[in-house]
Amino acid sequence: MSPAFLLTQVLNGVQFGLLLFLMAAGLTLVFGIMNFVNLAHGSLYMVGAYVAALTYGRTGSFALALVAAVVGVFVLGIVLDRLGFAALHRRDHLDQVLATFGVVLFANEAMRMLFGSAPLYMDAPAALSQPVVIAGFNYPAYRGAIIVAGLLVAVGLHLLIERTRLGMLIRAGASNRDMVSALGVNVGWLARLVFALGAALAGFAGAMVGPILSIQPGMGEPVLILTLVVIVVGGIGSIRGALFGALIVGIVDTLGRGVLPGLLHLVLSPSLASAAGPALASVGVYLLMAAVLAFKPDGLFPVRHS
Amino acid sequence: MSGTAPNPSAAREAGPGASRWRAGATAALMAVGVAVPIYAALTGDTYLVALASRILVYALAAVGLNLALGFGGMVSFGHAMYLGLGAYAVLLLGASGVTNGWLQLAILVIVVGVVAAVVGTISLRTRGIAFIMITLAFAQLFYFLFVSLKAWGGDEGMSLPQPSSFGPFTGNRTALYFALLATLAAALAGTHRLVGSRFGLVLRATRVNERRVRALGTAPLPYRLAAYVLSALLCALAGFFLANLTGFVSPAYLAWTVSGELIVMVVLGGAGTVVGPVAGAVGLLVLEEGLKALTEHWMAILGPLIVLMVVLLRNGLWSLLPGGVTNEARR
Amino acid sequence: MAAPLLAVSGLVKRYGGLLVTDRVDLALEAGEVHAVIGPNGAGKTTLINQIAGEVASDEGRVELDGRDITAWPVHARARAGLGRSYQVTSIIPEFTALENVLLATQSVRGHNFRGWTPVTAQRALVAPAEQCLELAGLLAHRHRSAGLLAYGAQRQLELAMTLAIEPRVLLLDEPMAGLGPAETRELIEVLQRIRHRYAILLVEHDMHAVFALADTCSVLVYGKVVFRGSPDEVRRSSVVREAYLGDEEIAA
Repeated sequence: MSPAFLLTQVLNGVQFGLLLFLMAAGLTLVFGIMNFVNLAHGSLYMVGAYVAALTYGRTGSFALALVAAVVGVFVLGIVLDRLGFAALHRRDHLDQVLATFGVVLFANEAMRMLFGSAPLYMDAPAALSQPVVIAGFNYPAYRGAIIVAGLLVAVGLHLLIERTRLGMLIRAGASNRDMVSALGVNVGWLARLVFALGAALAGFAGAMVGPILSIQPGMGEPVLILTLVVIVVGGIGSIRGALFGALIVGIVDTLGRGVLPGLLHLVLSPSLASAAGPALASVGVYLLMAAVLAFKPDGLFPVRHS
Repeated sequence: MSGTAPNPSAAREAGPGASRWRAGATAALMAVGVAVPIYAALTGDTYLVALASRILVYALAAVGLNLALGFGGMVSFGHAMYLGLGAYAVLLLGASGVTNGWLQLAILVIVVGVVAAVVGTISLRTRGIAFIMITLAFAQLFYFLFVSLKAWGGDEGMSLPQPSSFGPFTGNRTALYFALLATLAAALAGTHRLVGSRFGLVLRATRVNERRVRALGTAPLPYRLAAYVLSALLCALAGFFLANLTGFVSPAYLAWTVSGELIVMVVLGGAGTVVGPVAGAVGLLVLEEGLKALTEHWMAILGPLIVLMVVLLRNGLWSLLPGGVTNEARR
Repeated sequence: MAAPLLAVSGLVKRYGGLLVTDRVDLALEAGEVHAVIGPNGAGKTTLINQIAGEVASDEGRVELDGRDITAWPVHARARAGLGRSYQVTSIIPEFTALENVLLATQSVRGHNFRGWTPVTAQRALVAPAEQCLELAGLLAHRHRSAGLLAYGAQRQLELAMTLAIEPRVLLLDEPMAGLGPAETRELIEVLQRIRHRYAILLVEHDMHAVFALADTCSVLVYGKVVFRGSPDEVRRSSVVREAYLGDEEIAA
């Protein structure tokens, strides 16, 4: 196991973690402020990927594809909120889970009807197709770009939430929902904006994974479920928790798959190692989640509700 | 609290004799259950028996989930994992030489009991949204665990080397069907008794007002956990039957969508009613069969129908029948 | 001298920088009614929650019959003899009135891991439950759904449930809240009838009830006891008038 291999794995983990962060940031705010379980967040990610791939295919402009995905899913978020998601905020969690579960089934099937079951593929933009050299070894430039984009979004969200009036309202909403409406703020408007913002981030994540994953119906749910793990580990409603939770989950998952089987071969018999390696690797993040929750049921960065 | 329930207190007065409707509907469901294999034997319609068996399996699992979700207010989005554990127990035990069905069941109860106790203990430390997400994540853990077991078919799944052996009844589909029907009936009778017992009172009261239960001197956690484990065991039992009925086991049994479908069955039939989940299982699976016959894109219709159910049928099919002791999950 | 039945000493609760309970001392004997009055936001409910164990105290002790229960969880305190009622009616609407009370009677009679026999078929549980319902004047309504009872009857049920855990100390959080004059009179009568069996801490806004029932009054303002005395002394106190100024009608 060379240092270059290890470093690549760590960077892949960070890259995966930042993608999860893009998903988790919006979802955790929606949980925190609106107390709303939206299983269809993964569908927004899927739609973002499709919009990006189709736009890229038509225009050949990657930038345009990104913009189309972000704007498109932002608008879709507003439409969904108006169509009835907003009404779900007042229902109990069971209703929210069921209704958005229905939306997920519909969204996946709709994509299958429109574009077929076969996966779509999307190339990385030409400028990012060559590997870059980091500390003496090659790393795919596109994955590097995802890391940069993820970090920029994290910084941007931090500034938005800590430095702007909107951010102040979001923070207040996450810790005390009633206070925000007592301040005379139109909570419905704030909720819709936050929801659409979260949707746009999911769309952005979907667009960014286009060149590294296959785009197909049902692609959203594995990511959604890992995102839920991120949020639970990080602490519901906390952006900081989402960031650290996402990085931890991303790195543990990637290293678990890339490095753990090799490590096991060093200490176990070959047959045992080849059996246990993949099993352990695939459940690593969930064991991590269980361990975190066993000690900190509110996650690593709990939001204090007053 | 959700504000749009037609009757905000969710309390209903049982009119005189009104529960007869529900008793009658229960008897009718059971009679159909008995009649199906007889009708099939006369006409040679094997499809009908296969469908009815599948419905019974999911009805049993839904009755199990209802114990946690409907009566206990624990919205588990991961109960398919117990269905899967039950099914894989038949495969793994059978392949390692334990073919006796009773022995398999005994091991199954112990293993699933321990797993559910551990998962429940961790999950029940949380509430609301977090509980939903954690149960979903635990189910994924087992899903990926079985996917990674390449020797056992990986994500493709695997045929059973042999069915669970029950002496002369081994592999007898009719016997299996009636055993399943009897198990379901027993589960319903057990639920009916449980709901009005001391245990049931604590469980149902905790769903509504946990704080009050504490203030009256009862720590709810042991009862919640016991109900969760019991509900997991019923699902595992359903999985045991599922594997023997299909002769096949795969990770698809514990896909997250199965957990979702189980919840849909419970709510469609009536969460917190004793027999409602059976009606929900019949309703959903028959609907799915109908839609599948209509179009290959049946899920595009099913999805919106589930949304409609949430909007229009909040208390479930069973609550459309007049009266009886009800315990609607909605407040 | 024997320790009082309920002794609270130096109880403190802070929310951030806000002092909600400020070194409160209380002592209650059996048969005594101690009323806690004060303007809205004085911290009366917080005080009850601290004694009942729903809110953890930052400082101070709570003793029940000489035993330090400060660190005990809510359910253990309830079993040890602390019965509380809630200001917001906390009944189980889908249960019958009888089932609501049975939930209480069963919880102090061993564990509830009994899943087969209907509770309503167990005389040993039903008999004491019906006694409590009778005491609260609800026996005729015992088979009605609690959620369908009139508001006044729900308040009575709230009390019946609290009595059914056979407490020695009652923590009553505004039992008269929302009741009409006739219903209030009725509830005062019920409390008069049973007061000799319990030590009662009564948080109440209704001054008729307070003056009719209380042996001692503590006036709580911003979490601090600013005055303590008999109902007559409270009526005459200028401190109390000041605390209530513009807030409540105190003249009886």
